[in-house]
Amino acid sequence: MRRLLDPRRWSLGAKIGVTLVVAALVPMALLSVAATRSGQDAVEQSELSAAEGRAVVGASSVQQYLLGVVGRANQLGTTSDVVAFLKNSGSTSIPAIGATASQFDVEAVILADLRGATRAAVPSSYEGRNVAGEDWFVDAAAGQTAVGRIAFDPRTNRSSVIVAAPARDPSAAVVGVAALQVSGQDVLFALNQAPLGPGGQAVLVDPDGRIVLTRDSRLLGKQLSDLGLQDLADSIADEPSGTRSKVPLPGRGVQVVAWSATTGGNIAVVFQPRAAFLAPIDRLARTTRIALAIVAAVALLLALFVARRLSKPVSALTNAASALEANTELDIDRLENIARSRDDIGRLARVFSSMAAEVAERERRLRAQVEALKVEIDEDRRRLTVTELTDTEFFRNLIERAAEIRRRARGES
Amino acid sequence: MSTRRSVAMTCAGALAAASFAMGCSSDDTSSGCTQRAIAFVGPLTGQYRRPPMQNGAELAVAQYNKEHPDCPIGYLPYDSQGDPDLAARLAEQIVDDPQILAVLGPSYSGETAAVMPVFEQVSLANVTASATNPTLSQQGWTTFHRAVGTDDAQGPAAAAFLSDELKVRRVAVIDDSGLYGKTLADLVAADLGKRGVVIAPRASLDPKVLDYTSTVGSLAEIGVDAVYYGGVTEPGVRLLKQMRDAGITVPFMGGDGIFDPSLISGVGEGAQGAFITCPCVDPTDESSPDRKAFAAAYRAYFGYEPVGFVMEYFDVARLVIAALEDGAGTRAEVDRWLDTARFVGMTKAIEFDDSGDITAGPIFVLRVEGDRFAQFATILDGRVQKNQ
Repeated sequence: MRRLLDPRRWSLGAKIGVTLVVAALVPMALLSVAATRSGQDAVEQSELSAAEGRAVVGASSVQQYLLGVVGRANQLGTTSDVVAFLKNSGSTSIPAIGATASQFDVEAVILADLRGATRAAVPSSYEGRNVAGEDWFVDAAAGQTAVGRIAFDPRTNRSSVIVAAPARDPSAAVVGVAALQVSGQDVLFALNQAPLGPGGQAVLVDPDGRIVLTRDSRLLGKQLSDLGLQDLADSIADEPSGTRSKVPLPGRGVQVVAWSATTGGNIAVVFQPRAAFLAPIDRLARTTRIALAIVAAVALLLALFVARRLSKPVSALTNAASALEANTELDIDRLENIARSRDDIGRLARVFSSMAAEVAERERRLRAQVEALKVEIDEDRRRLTVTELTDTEFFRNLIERAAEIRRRARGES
Repeated sequence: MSTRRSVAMTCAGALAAASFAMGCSSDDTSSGCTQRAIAFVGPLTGQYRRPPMQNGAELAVAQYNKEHPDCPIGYLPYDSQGDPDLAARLAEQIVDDPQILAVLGPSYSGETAAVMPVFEQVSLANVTASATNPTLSQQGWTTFHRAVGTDDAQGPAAAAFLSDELKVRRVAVIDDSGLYGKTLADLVAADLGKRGVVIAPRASLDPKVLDYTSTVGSLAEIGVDAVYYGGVTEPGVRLLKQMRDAGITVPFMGGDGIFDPSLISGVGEGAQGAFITCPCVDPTDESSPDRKAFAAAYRAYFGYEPVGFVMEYFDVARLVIAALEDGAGTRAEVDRWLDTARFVGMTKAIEFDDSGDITAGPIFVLRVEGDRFAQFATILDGRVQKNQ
């Protein structure tokens, strides 16, 4: 394990292989990362402008739809029985506004006098309401058609818009206000006329930055700032139209966003998930990654193979050298096999073989000399031993003592 | 020294390769909650806007999300305006949105026929609770599911009710000359004939004519035990009103074409006791605790009374939520889950056969009581079971 972790101790093959992979594949990988990035940027740019176009289409479609409702409100406000009803303060019978509601495909119809008192309404729950404080009433009573802001009811999760027009008698004097309330669903339908890309969605944001129309119930009624999109909310509030990339929408991944203002201060916002339009590039990057991995594996295997072929004779030479060093039997056959190769290693093996042979010859000669010298030495040594023996004090004492014994024996006897 | 440098290089290379291998999918902001959503296809606006079926589905998802605020299921209604061409375009959008794992609806048969080929290509399952054209399940679509009885089932059910429950021997079968009414009336007449009931007279009304005196007169002369009417509301209202005015008090029965509050308001007192068949239940019926809870939750959420197929869509939405809860995480998995589902809903038990039709789609008989249609009997496989 330690050996694997320490590149200094890797075999030649591993070193060559890794170096090859690093030298060839890392630049390739970096290059492909760079290519992917620039591809993503290019696609993102084109998606941003596409999203901007979609936002504009959605905004104008909403505007167009509400303009149509304004037209209907105008029509209602100039209907003779409505004018007569508003003018004569209730002395004439209530006009058939129920039929108007279904004919105009609206949720509610409100007829208010110039003081803002609702004189007739469908459904009846609107009756008796005073609408003097409503912006649309103020505008309409002043003689202008008005599109109210989209009102979101958090209790029922439904939105609606009131569109108002002044009711005018034939002399063009304003006698009251005719207002139509349309369901947010109708506005949402108009908004969704924007052709959306894969996984995209269009939402309508009111001037306070609240999402008032969306298909997705998870987003409905949420403030952009509550979704962590304060920056986006600020941009939308500042500029009538624009785009932003890499906006994280909670639960829906990173999006590109484009917006365009529409009637009543509302803003059509188009979200387009990046993952969807980056999918082809991601697929390409994935394919490249797999290809690079395969190339790396093949290169590593090849390098290992080549390196092994390269290092096999080297290791044979190493073995031979260590055999030489240890003065054990040399595998001459293997060495000669290598020596037959005509490359550098072969030359090395030939040189080594002849060197080994020379070494062996020299050793043989040396051994013979040693043998001869040994014989000489043995002769000398025997001689030396005798000399050594006779030269010792003990021996001389012994000789002296023997002479004395002899003398004593002769003298005393 | 050179060895050390090569080591450093190797490490840098390995790091680069590793980061390369891991990078690129930085858009995934998963926090343990996978994004999943259910779409609804049907008319939310336009001339075909009906008593809002999608409300039932919306309520079911909203209830689930209230209990699971950490990982809500998306509910995405797509407004088809009842237009098959528009529905087909919406289907492309739905297919493109990867978080959508199942579709509720479409509301009507025409749009169902338009969207199913698109869904079929990506194994996206639908569950409709209101598209009743019998041919839809015969197109070979594997992802088609219908949790409601077909038009074909209403005729035999009405015949069973007339002969077994009302014990009639002579029935007048009248239609309004429309395709729906005529087909239904023919089915009823054929089944009554098999049961030995005399069909007299078998008549067709001209829907544009306001005065049906001659038909009503012949009914009085013949002396029938009951009148079956196949058709839509307006001619039916005139027929029933003129019948009652002429003093004919025999039971009156019709199909879901007259399951319409204007039958009661149009005929007045004479509508009392009239029977209708429908593969749908009465959503204002609060006879059981869970139906009571449903009606209360519905009123609290939307601020008005439940109408139409809302309870059916509440059921199928809960069916799909059950699939997601059970771990079905892809479109194909949801489709497979639905194919083998056994689910007891509020309106009926739901189980699909190979063609995607509900295996046992009960037909309900409702009776006009006061200003509403009250559930009176359930007919399943030709057997009449009276509600208590």
